[in-house]
Amino acid sequence: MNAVISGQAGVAVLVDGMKLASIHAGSHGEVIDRRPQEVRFLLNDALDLEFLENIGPDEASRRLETATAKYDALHLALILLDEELSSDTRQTAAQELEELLGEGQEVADFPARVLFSRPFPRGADPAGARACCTVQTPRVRGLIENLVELQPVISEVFQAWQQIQVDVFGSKEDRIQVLATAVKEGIFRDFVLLRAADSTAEAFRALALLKPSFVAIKKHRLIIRKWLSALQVRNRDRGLVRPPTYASRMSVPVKDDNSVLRILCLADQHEANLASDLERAIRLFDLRTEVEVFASRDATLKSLRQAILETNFDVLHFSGHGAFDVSADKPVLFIDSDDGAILPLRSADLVRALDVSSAPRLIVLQACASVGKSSFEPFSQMARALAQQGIPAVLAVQSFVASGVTRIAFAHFYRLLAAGYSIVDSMTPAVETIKRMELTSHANLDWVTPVLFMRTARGELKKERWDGPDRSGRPRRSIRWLGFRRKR
Amino acid sequence: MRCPHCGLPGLFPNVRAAQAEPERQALDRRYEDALAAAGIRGARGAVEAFEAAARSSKAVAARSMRELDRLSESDKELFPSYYGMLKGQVRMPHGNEWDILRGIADDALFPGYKEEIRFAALSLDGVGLTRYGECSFVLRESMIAHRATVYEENSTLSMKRHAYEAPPGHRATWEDRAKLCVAKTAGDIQAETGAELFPKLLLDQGATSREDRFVEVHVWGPMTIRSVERVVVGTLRRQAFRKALRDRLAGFDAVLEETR
Repeated sequence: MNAVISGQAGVAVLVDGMKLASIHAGSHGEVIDRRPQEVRFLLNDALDLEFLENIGPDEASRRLETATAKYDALHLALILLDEELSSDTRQTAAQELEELLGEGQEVADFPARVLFSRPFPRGADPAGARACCTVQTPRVRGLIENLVELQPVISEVFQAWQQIQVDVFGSKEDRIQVLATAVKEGIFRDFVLLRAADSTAEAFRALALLKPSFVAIKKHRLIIRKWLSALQVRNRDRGLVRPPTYASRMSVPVKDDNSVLRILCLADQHEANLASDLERAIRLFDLRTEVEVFASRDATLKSLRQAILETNFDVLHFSGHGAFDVSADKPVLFIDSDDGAILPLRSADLVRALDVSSAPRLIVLQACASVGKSSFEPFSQMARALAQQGIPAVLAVQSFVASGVTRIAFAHFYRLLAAGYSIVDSMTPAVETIKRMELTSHANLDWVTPVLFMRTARGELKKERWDGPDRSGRPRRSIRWLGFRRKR
Repeated sequence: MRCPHCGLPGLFPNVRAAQAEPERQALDRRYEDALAAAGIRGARGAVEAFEAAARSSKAVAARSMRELDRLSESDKELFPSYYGMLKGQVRMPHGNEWDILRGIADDALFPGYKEEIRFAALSLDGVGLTRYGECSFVLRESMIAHRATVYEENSTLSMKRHAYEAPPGHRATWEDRAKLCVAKTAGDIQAETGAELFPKLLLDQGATSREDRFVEVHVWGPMTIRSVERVVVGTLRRQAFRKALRDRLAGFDAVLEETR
């Protein structure tokens, strides 16, 4: 079955051969049979049509709710900014927008992706919008403050876009199409953030090239070049981040046949492209980097077990959600069960599934950026528990930054690991990457919070032997905190 | 429209067509016949009650929520006619048989001025033909009465059925709309037909556009949000959407009404 989804119209049209049906936002997935002549009325004049192939009604319904929430979030942000509306209306918009911004990264990102794409129009009242925010709406206040702070940069990036000649795109229609793709993929937002952080051209290119639908555009490299040229982005640094000086002094080991770093990615459906994005990001740095990234067939324990049996992985990279099992007072990660339900996974279950003797030497637990800071606690607790049970090194990370930036940071981390640098030495420039690429005004948030537990002496993944658990069951290396906070 | 001989402004051509003597006489005949028939079957009282209701009927144009957003932004935003949208390259033809049927019907019914006609439907409860849009714009009578006419049914289908020659007595001026409603509907009204059924007798949404039953309204010339007195919408997803629309419409002296 295929589907056409519009968040603007709040409708998903399902096409199964000659049969047509629709699902409406807020209808809890109820499927209504339709005739062909009804379809255009259902979608009306919506401009945000999304075409999906081989999709079931449940998934279509879920995608519809997300698409609708994205559209609603943008609409609410515009209401909040509208000077002609009453304070009561704008306050309600702020409250409802706050709820949506907490729903998930995809929804939370969307208003920023659009609003960062052009300067405020006449009639926008950011000061009034800010005044309508309260302590109950911190995310909305953050969004408005970022928009206000970055207006000059937004204007600069927009003007630079305007300077790209139409013939670069092909035609006016092509230009509109590319613009829509760039906005939808968050390229304007990312460029504004990079510009604000005075990043190099490589950083701009790297981020743009991580966006699949933008890369699918025929002249995307030329467009980026013209855009950056109009922006007069500095080009002097080669490479995003240089390894730290102490690491540079270390001798990089000569690789043998076993020196390929193999990473297995286990991600929930929100991060379905994790492995391919990581792979692409790593290749952006260096095509010769000996890293192989694998995606688990699905996020189930069974697939994980099978993958571990088939291949000798160095790293297991988990990205998803976690929580505390209150009844057992233990942290759990959530993975999919074989029957499609969500399964809480304790550290002991994971260690059993991996088998310590053949387990990857490093487990990375990446908390979904949409969870709050307090929800990161299960990840750090889980990291400790896994290390206690014999996993050589466990790194728990949460970053409150755009997923593209996180990917680049991880790509840099893995590339350095593969080159023989220690975990700590690889982590430092990765965090630096985020610091350089990200916005400088995420109020009250850490840039990135890595917590590392190690049983090895130096954490050099490819070189060191590691010791088994000591009698106390504690990791030999004490906990390393690398809390990188922004300067206030 | 100006007289080609003296240059004086002319009447609205759709109104002039409905005011033509043969049209009036034919309509009067149909109306009288309908009343007489109702009297014979003892339904005269119910038909007269329906006529009174029809006298207060409103012209309602159905549009999408996106159009409501646009139109409520400013009184410089216009209700485009179908042909205006095609000409302005803001929409494409449907690409089906309706394009052909509609083009021929409109040329016959509105010779030389089809680009100026905006369509609506008569409604007693403020809800229009929602298949054309979930928002019903109830048009302000003082803004349209002098330039609106009504037609028996979906003009595209009717004109095809009548070999593209509008049958006399099937159109009326705005002030005579109740007569046309009676002429068309009286046969369906029985002595026991209550007022609660009148809205559905006047406008009944069918399973397809061909099965819709309504009295079509033709308004000559431009309209803005100031031509609207009320907008009826289904339940809005967010409270802020409701409040924002209410604020914007209040700026133009129009009200927002939600249906369940």
